[in-house]
Amino acid sequence: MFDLVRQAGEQGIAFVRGCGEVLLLFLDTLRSLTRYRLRGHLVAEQLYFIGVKSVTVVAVTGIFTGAVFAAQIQFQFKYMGLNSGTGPVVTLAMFRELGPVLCSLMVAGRVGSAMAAELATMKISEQIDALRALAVYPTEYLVVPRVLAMAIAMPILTALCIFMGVVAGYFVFTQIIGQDGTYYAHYSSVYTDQNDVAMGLIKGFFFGIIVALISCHRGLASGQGAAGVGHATTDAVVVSSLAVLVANFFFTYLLNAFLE
Amino acid sequence: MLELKSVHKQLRTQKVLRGVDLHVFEGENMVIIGRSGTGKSVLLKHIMGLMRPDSGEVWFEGHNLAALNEESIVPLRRDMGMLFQNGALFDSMSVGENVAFSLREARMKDERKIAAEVARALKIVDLPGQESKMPGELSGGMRKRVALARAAISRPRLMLYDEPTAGLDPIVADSINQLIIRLGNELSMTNIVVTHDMVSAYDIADRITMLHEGKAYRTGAPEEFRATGDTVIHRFVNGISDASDAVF
Repeated sequence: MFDLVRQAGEQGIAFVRGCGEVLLLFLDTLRSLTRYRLRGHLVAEQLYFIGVKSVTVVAVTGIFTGAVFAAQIQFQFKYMGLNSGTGPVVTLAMFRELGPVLCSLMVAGRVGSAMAAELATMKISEQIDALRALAVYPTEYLVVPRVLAMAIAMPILTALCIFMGVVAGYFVFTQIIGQDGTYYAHYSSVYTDQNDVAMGLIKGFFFGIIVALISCHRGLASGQGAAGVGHATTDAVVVSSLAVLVANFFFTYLLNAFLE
Repeated sequence: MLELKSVHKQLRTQKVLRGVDLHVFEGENMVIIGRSGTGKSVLLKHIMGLMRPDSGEVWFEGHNLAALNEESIVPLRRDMGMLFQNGALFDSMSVGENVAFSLREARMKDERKIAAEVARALKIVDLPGQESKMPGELSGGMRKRVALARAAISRPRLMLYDEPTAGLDPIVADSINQLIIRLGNELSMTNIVVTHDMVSAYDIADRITMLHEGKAYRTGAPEEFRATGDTVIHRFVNGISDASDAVF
């Protein structure tokens, strides 16, 4: 019993400490952004890795999410005579929730794990100490380009995910289920406005920053040896995915309050 | 040039440094010896400002590194270079990019000049024409030479070496020792070399300091260490173990 309480206490302390460290890293990143020159080539490298290399994963995620969601909604709505509601439901869900959240989760899996593994490997092989010995501030060189690239790439990837989802939903609705596409397109455009677009892209932007910061933090805080790199990688994906899901709840309330 | 005053450091539960005092003069080759786990590498990291002491002072060129924050130490590190135990080359960069790193950081723009400097540095470490190779393609000795070229290209005034000959065969180890002496003379650098290889220590040292039980146990010329009657030093320099050293 005592061990259980102690374990819970230790995990609670580790959680609070982790949150504090990520917040400090965020502040250090902001400070480094204003104090040091921007390393354009490093941002471009990260943009290519995060943005271009994630296109396929994000597009496939969007396509099948939209397709499945359209089919499922149609199966339920047809009994209620709400065929015309499928388009706007799929579109709104893709814009407001599914697009940004699923895109962020996929990027956390693909990019967050790679970031954490790379930084953890650099740490255990003393490459980060070598950077410092060569008079380079690690946050400025390693974290700023990654966070910046994620902040730029994620809204674009989110937009791609949403677009592919809506198009795939339309395809399933018209070509597989055999309904008239006019309703899907018409009601989708009627019920979707710039606030829905803004909500998707703003969420994508912030989720990107969250994933990048947590992944960099886990990499930089990695333990020693291969096990340390493994833990850092797993933690980066798990913690950033959970953080995205939790943050999504609060962003939904906040953005609804601001945008509506 | 460098002075450590009563430096203490505890890592987790282990007290690694227990009041180290050390004075290094301009232009000398100081070799720090001691058994594994006595804090030699930790001491080097304190000198470089990569670690902070729990208490004590690290004075370099009139600045107490222990009292400065990371950003204030950065400009001072431009006067220092460090060779890490495994080289710590950036494995996403080629040999040429690794060696050119400091020059690009110093905002040297002329690529032809950078290429010429890199070629010159690689020639000094006996690796001419290896610019395009990746670190993964190099042997242990070559990695250390490239790391040495990277650290020395900006001509630091103080150069730190962490076990420069560890894991190398005696012939390569000797060539690294000669390189350290040659670089020190050609670039007028002060060298601090951490090693437990006594052949290297005698080769390189103007003075030797032995770390023992977290303190600078003795400092003196190599001849004093060879001729010492002190049991602790005698056993270490001659590699003599006793029952208390049994590991299994």
